Parts: sequence; structure tokens; C-alpha cells
Amino acid sequence: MKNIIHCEFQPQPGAIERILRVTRVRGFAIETMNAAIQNQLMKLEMTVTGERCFTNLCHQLEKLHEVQHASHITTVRSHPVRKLA
Amino acid sequence: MNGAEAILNAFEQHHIDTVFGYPGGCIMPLYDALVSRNVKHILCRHEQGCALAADGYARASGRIGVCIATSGPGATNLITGVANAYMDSIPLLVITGQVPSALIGTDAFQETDILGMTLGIVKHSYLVTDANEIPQIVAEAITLATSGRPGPVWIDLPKDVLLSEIINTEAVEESHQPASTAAQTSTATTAVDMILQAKKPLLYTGGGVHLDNAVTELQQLIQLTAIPHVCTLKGIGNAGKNTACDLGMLGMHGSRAANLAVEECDLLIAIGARFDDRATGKVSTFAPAAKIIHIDCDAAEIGKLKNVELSIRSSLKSFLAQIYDDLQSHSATLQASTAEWKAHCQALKRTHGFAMSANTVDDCGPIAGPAFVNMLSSLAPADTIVSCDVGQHQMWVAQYFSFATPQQHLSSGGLGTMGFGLPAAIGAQLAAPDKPVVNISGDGSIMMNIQEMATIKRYGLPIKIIVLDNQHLGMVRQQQELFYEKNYSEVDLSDNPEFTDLAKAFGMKALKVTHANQMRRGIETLFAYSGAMLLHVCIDQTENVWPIVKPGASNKEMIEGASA
Repeated sequence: MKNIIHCEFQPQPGAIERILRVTRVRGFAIETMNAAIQNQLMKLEMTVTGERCFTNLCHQLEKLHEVQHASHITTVRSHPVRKLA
Repeated sequence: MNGAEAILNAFEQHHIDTVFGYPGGCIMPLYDALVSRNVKHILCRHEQGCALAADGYARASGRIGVCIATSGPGATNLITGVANAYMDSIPLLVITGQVPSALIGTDAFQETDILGMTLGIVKHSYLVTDANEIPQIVAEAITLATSGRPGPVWIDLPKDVLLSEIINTEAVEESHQPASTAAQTSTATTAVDMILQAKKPLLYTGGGVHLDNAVTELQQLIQLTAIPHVCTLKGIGNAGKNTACDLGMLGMHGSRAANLAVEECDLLIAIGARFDDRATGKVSTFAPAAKIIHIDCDAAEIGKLKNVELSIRSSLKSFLAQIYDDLQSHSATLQASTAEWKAHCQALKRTHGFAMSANTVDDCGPIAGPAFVNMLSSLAPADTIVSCDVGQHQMWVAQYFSFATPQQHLSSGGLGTMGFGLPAAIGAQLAAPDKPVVNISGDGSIMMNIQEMATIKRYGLPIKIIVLDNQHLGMVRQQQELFYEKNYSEVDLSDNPEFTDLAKAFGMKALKVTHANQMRRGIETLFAYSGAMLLHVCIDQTENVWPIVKPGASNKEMIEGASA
């Protein structure tokens, strides 16, 4: 399953590391990532893949002190890779 | 006032009067300022001992534990203790020195990126860059560590920051604890409806109950409803002592009664428990016939491992009080509709519980671990605090020692840290100087932080140490016997030092017992002596912990008293 995670957080030292670490440890792989500061908040959008619950990942991210909000949108369901003849 | 003095001022402001630490290069400004202060500093003999003692202090007192170390190896030595606290949601404030700001990132002497190394074992961490921020950061760190789901918070302080003069010395307002979340009335009503509709309800409680100070509310609910109860390792004591409907610990080494009740129940009410693999076994087969209500203060725990019918993110204390009120008028209905189930659970407890009959001890034979712990439980003063290490002895304590409250049972649940028990006992004794504190250890675990016997001597702590010695890493040996075709690998500890001599070298009284008929005298002598004492208990080397569920198997596949 592939999802887009939106995450808003205080751009404190180590905040991005914490977010990436939680995402990895909770069983997800990051495919793309984009982040920029807007109105003193860092807004991060990342495409992640994984088989576990994305809502739970957002709950885990929201436990981080800097993170104010995390949400996800499902984009693509994974399909078995088809081998070419 | 410099940064170091600001830290100590913050301690005083937040009523922190006991800290566990070990000095070194970059933290020296703090130790320089400490000399003139009233903070009681406990010098442990290893930084891991500091962190674990602070953990034990927090568990026994219900207050935040504080540990201090220098940069580099001092900080890295704290890591196991901090991870231990993180896994069991224990509030810790961790203070470390760091190399001067200008040297960070230069591979300076005793430099480690401790903030980076510890991201996964803290609720939050700070690398302080401006001494003026110290009062605010300490206040925020304490609030974070103690609120919601508690945990460790780490503050890393470069030496120059500790030495910097603070310009802004205005007192910082106390950080307010965030309001705890209460369950919505509608979800509580739904929970009550589900309980009233159930024929076989079962309470499954964990460490969260004690952490949320909700033990009284849980015990009142149990008293009102008599719903059968099972608990996790950290939930032992939740139901109180000798509670009829308490079936004890579930899971890998849980009672057969508890695991069978989970197997058969039609409603599982999980309160402050996190469906840990040691509790659930193969989670897909856990509570197969049950609807599940899961109540926790941490939203990320709900649905993490097991789908539930009703999830309630709430303070446990307020939720339990709420459903107690709601169930009061339905008490008679509930008693009638669940009578058959309760009788069945009582029968399960009689036939498959952990109770040990008096005549199971062969006076002339070797000492069996369970029999010893059972006798210890009956002879220990009622307010005894027990700290365990990790292994077979830990499970025997969980199975055969009866606790009135979870605060009396200090055990490393999540991380399973061998070496936890001795420093945790030190922390507990300092938190509760008037209570008997017993460290029950094994011959493997005790050697992991044996240096802390020197701390016991230094501060004259009357801690009782019991070493259950089977000359092996017993739990590993047991699993090699059962699951690795008796291919024993690196589990022999028969070359351990003589523990009574070791204790005497640390100025401690010691006694050794080798046969079952010496157990009572050994235990009574231990509690009769006013100072620190070690009781070396030589136990049967082949004794296993029963039941056992093979790691990854379903709890219903319990193995008992035989090879797999």
C-alpha cells in the first residue's frame, strides 16, 4: 500500500530525524519527500509504502513533541509484481 | 548564576531532591555547583546503575527519576537504563554533559551524538544551545516526562552552556500538566452495554492502570462486578491480594487458567495493556471468540496489533470511575448473567492457577525456585517492595508472589533488562526508606550490575538481596532444552564467584541455603536483620518455568512439565 503522509511540525533540531525514524521503525519505507517552512511551521509531505496501518503511523507521529498534525491519503494499493515472459 | 546552577535551581523548583549520577569531564560544572546544594546525589558505580536506580525510584515513588552522566561513555552507559524506562513508560529526566559547543561535530574527546543515538528511546530530547533556555527546558521536560503516557526525556548540555552566565533569571512558571482525556459519555455507554450483553466478560489489565493512578478505581470495579481478571507482568497487583476472580498473569508464562479464560471469553476489556507479544502469543489467535474493548491513554496503542470492536482513548482513572457509576445500577443483572462463567473461571483457577499446596515442598530435597518464592511471599512483610531481575526467577515471582499493589512489584517488562533488579532496589529503598526492599535475582542477572553493592554499602541501605542460583542462564537453558533439542550453548555459570564471599567483600552480611528445610530459616533471618543482607539460595539446576508458550505460538499451546 502506498500513502501520502502530511505532517506539520515545529522545525526544531532533530525533528525531521525523529519523523523519519518513527516512519522506518514502524515498518514503512519512504519513496519521496518534500518539506518547506511556511508560517514558522515545517510542512512535510512524503510518499510512503508499507503494509501496516497508516492511521497508526500518524498516531505515532503525533506523539512526537514537535508534531502538531499528521494525516494520510491512500494513493495506490500494491499489487503482486508480474513477471514478464 | 550559570547554566549548571540553573539546572539545580530547576530541581529545587520542581521538588527534585534525589538524583542518581556519576561525574566526568563535561558534566563537571554541574558537580561543581552541586557541592553547595541540598539535592541528595547518589553516586552509583556505573552509569547504567544510575539510570536503573532512577527508574526504580520512579516506580516506587510515583515521582520522576533523575539520572546524570558525563558525555561520551557516560552518556552511552545510560542508554540501556533509559531504554528500559521508555519501554515500561517510566518518567525519567536524563541530564548529560556534552563537549563544548564549538567542538560538537569534530569527533572531540568523549564526544558522542547522544541526541541522535537515543531518538528511539526517549519521549523527547534537547541539545541546549543557550543557557538562558535551561529553566524553560527543564520545566517542559518534566511536564513531558510525567504527563500522558510517561517516559524519559533527555537534556544534553554542552560544557560551555553549563558554564555560561544566565542573563534572564526570571523564575519560570510551573509547566501545567495537559488535561487528561476523558472518554465521551457515548463510548462509555457503549462499553457498559457491551459488558451487560456479554456472557463471558474478562478484564485484561496492564501497567497503564498503575501509571494512571487508577488501581483503586479498577479494584472497586472488580469488587462491584466480580468480572474475572487477567493481567500482564506489569499489571500484577492491579487486582489486589487474594482477589477471588483474579486469575493472575496471562501469556508466555501466565497461568493456564488465565490463558484458557482469554481463549474462551466473549468480551475482552483491555485496560492500559498493549497486546504485547509476551502476553498475547500469536496475536491472530489471541482471544479468538471475543469482542474487544480497548481503553488506553495512547491513541497509537489502540489497534496497533489487534483490531478491536470499541476503542476508547481516555484517562483510565476517569473511564473506570465512569463505568463503575454506570454499572452500579446493573450489578444484580450482571451477576446473574455471568454467574456460570464466573463459576467456570473459579474452577479454572482451582485446577490451573498458580496456588501451591503446603505439602509440595520436600524438606530433605533441593530447593525448587517456585516453592522458595511461594514461601517468601507468605513470610515477607505486607508492604515489601520486590525488584526482580530478568529470567526464570522473575517469572516465578510473577507467578508465586502475591502483591497487593503493582507499585510493590518492580520488574523490567518491556525491555527485559538483566541487571535491573539491584539498582532498581537502590532507587526503591531511597524512595521508600521505611519499607522493606528485596531484590530477587538470578546468578546471571546479579553479575550484570554487581558493582552496585558498593552503592548499597556507601549509603547504608538495608536492602535484602536474594540470589536464586542454578548455576546457569536458566531461561536460556530452558528454551535450549525445549526448543533447541537440548543443544546447550554458553549457559553454564558454574564458575561464578561464591556469592556470600562477594557480599562480605562489600561489607554485607550473607547466608547460604542449599536444602528445602533451610528456606524458612533463611528467609526469616533475612527479614530479622536490620541491615543489608544477601541470601544465596542454591536451587535445583533443572527446574523450569511452567507453563511456557513457545515464542510465536498461540497461548493455547502451553507446554507444562515436559519437553516439547
